Amino acid sequence: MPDIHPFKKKKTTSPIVEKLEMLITIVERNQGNYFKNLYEQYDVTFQSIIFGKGTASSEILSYFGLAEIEKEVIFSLIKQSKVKEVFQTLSLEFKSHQGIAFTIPLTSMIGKQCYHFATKNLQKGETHHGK
Amino acid sequence: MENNSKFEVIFCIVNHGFTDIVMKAAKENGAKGGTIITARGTGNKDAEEFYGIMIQPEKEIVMILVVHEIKDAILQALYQEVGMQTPGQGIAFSLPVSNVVGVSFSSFQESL
Repeated sequence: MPDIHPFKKKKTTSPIVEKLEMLITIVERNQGNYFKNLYEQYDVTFQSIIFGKGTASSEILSYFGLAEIEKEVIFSLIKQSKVKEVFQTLSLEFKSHQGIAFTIPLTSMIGKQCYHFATKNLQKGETHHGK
Repeated sequence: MENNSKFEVIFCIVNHGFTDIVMKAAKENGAKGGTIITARGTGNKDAEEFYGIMIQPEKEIVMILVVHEIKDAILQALYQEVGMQTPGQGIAFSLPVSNVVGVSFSSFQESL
């Protein structure tokens, strides 16, 4: 049977594309930079900090007029292979700092350059932390 | 780490000043708390002129982390309280969350 997809590329061994996740961290105001620096140890290159407001659920807090607490929200792109390490560190951090963090899997991204930037692929061969 | 795959995050984008209604609706259905970010909406200018409506550019985004069992109830409540047909003109959607740290699963379970 002739090939009915003449334009279909032959399957070659494609470079392994490591999946990225969006890490959203919500921490107290002025704690953002601390966590930003922490994530930089884990090859995280894109981060953006946004000011947010928390809505406390406790009625005692709203009685004292503290119903809205100022927060910082950090959006960062992280490699899936690093998530476990980061979350182990975070679970220790959140014993002393108040905050929550979660990741959402990314499904698509535009631009090879973008992807290489996000995965820190440009400095190949360099090791950033001695593990 | 807690039991993953059990959590979803709800993003609700509403007009400025409607976050109280959003949080009230969410808390009535078991949510613990949320985080508000201010944002700016970009509506379609031509469509606005054609239909003679004004889309308020100041928006607020509420992020609520919930267990997936109560997600549907909250989205339903949000649709009724701050849906497109209300002055809140809100849209809400949920995304699956793959990893969570900083919340205890048991405290979420109590609210069920």
